Amino acid sequence: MGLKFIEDKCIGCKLCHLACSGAHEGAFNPKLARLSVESYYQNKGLVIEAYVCTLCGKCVDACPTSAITLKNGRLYYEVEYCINCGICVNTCPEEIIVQKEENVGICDLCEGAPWCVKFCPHGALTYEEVK
Amino acid sequence: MKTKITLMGPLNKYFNGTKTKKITLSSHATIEDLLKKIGLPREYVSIVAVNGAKVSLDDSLQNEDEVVIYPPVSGG
Amino acid sequence: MLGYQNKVLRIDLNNKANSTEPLNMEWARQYIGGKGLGIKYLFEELKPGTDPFSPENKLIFMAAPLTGTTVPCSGKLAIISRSPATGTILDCSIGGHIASEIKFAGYDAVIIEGAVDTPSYIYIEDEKVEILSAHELWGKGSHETETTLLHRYGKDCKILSIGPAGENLIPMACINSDYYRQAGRGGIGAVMGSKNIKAIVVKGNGNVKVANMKETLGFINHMMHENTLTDDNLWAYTDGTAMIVEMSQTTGILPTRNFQDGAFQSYKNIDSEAMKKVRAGKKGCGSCALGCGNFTKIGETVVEGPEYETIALCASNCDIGDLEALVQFNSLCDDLGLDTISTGNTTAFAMELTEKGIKDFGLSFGDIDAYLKVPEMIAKKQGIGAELALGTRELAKRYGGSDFAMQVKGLEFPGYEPRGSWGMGLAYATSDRGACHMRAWPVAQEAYGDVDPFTTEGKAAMVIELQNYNAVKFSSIICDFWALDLEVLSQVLNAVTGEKFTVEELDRIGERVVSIGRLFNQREGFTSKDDTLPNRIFNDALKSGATAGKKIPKEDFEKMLVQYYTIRGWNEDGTIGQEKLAELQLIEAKTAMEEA
Repeated sequence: MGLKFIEDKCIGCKLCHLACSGAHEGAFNPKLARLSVESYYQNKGLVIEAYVCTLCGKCVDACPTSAITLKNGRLYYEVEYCINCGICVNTCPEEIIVQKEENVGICDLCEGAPWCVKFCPHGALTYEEVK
Repeated sequence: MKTKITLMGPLNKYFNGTKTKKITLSSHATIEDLLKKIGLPREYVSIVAVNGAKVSLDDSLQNEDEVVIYPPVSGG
Repeated sequence: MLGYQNKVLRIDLNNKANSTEPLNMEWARQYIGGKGLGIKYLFEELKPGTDPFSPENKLIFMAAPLTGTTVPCSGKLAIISRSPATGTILDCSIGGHIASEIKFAGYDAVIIEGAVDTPSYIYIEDEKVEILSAHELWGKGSHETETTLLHRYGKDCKILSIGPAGENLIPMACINSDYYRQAGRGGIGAVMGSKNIKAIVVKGNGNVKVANMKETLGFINHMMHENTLTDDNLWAYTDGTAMIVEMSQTTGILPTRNFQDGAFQSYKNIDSEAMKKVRAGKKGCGSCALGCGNFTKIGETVVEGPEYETIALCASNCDIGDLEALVQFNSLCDDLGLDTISTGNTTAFAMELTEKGIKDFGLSFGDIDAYLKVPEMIAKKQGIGAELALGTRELAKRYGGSDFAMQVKGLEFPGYEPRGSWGMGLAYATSDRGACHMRAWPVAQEAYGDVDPFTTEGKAAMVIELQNYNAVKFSSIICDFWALDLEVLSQVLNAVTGEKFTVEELDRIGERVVSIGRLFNQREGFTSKDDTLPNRIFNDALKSGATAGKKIPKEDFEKMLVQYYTIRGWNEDGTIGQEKLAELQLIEAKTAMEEA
């Protein structure tokens, strides 16, 4: 199971960003979301770019202290092992690991019920079987 | 009698995504009867127009009538 | 109360300085935020008689406790000032993503005072505030301005800008954001231009906190699915406002040829079906669950919209049944920074003046080529634009035709024919900023509903309830298109703020907000004589369609107006008396008035 994004249903509302930061950080701040969905105008057209955790596991391999692990189909982050080196932030190919002052923010699929999916109003984000 | 019904906006879900359908009704059926037949709750209907003119729910329909049903809207 | 940042940013352009202060929480309890709190601040801080274009006028950008949260449809910003078009209180509402960004930057409000003496723009990133030269941006359209600033500061910043219309102090100039969203009416863009501010760039890196986050997230999510994403609101997602064209045409309230008629023979070229054929995308405002914005592309022209108001005033009202011409007109107005409602309405007025031989502006109903030249001429005060820029009331004063200058208090009628929806006529006449459909919208109950549109019965009470409702809704800041009731609004506000607003309190706040707007106008000398409609509404019958033969007899309009004052508890001359002021806790405001 993983996150899937369907571009033509996205209305660029950023509710996914706010729901994610709300659930993980206890406050609304789109810059603290562990995904990135942007809808913007460019050259008289609408461009939509979305990046979600693909469970590629590169952050797991890169983390020098094994603070990030992958099991049960999702990432786990144990903050007690994190030395805030920032290597995972730079390694993530989707650039969605959040660098905070003292540690990082990882998409943990909200332990099976992703808040971004709950708040996406028209099903641009879904949580389903991915290969 | 045969009528042509168009459901505007989100109401086409009551026709499984099709906007316009031909519906057969008993003669002297009213708009209210039509809504009941489609399963469309009254609270999700604002204007009902028959052959381009607004009607009320207890008005009767006639053969070959073209009906357009609008959802509630706010503002403009 | 949570949801608020508890901080106001005050920018003093005279001294190129800025400061912060706590939000007045006593006022916030009485007015919440947005429209209401913005009007309260302006009422308290502005001296009566202030010229809207003088440095003493203020430009208040006011968010609300719900802004910057996952509350659906909360991402709009109220902008408050004194209107150059009418001299009344003016509050506008703009979508896009700027409202949330101001909250993330740490502020509930930004108040701009004074003026700079050279074209400038303001950059705000959290505590950092800079006033910088805009000399290379001045004269440019809003779109180029926004693109330039996004390149300079990054795609994550949000921008408010004016076009040449605002720079040239046109009384129908708007403020733009996110390219295609406007704070449209009353010349709000000209106020910004009078301060020599071309743009405001905001970047916010901070947090918005609410009460009991986990619980609130669950509750708001439930509310979104059960109450927002329902068939009474989803018209905004499936069709956007273009569907209102068919609804107005069917019920005979679609403005046609300067409000000479309520039905337009070419409506099929500009209705929701026609729009869907050229739709190229969808974009919503910040935190919006509905996404009403449709991106339209015809040939090389792209525009978000055209929205119903633009279609009604710039197409059917000008007898232009050509979608490509309408899209071009819309696009020109957006980039030049012009309100499409006032621009379309004034163009139609000039068309009628020309056709009647009263004053030749070289325009006529249906003449596309001349029509397409109008926005630029108005924005740059060139040719006939120098006069059209004045608006219908001033044009009528100069040349005649006041009977069919379709405006109230100097603000042009929006897209609903009041002879087909009599409550709408009362709403236009009693709106705080001139003829406006965003204070009360009885069209939903009358033309589009079960209430008889052609009587006075119950209309005063209806307009009052709708005005109070919109006032508190736009003070909490929820977008017009989520038709939530006061019970749901109280639950949402209480979840976010941790307060315990009751439905009765919210209705009282709505009444208070309407009243303080009224008091502002009263202080500037407005009375019941200004609560009127152009004689066309009383004297001229509509010609075709569902409302053929309809007009509002003047005595019926006056009956509704008297009932309105009576039920509101105001005096016969439309002023608010001492007892009512005390009841609404506006008494200290009245004292301030007397001392002024």
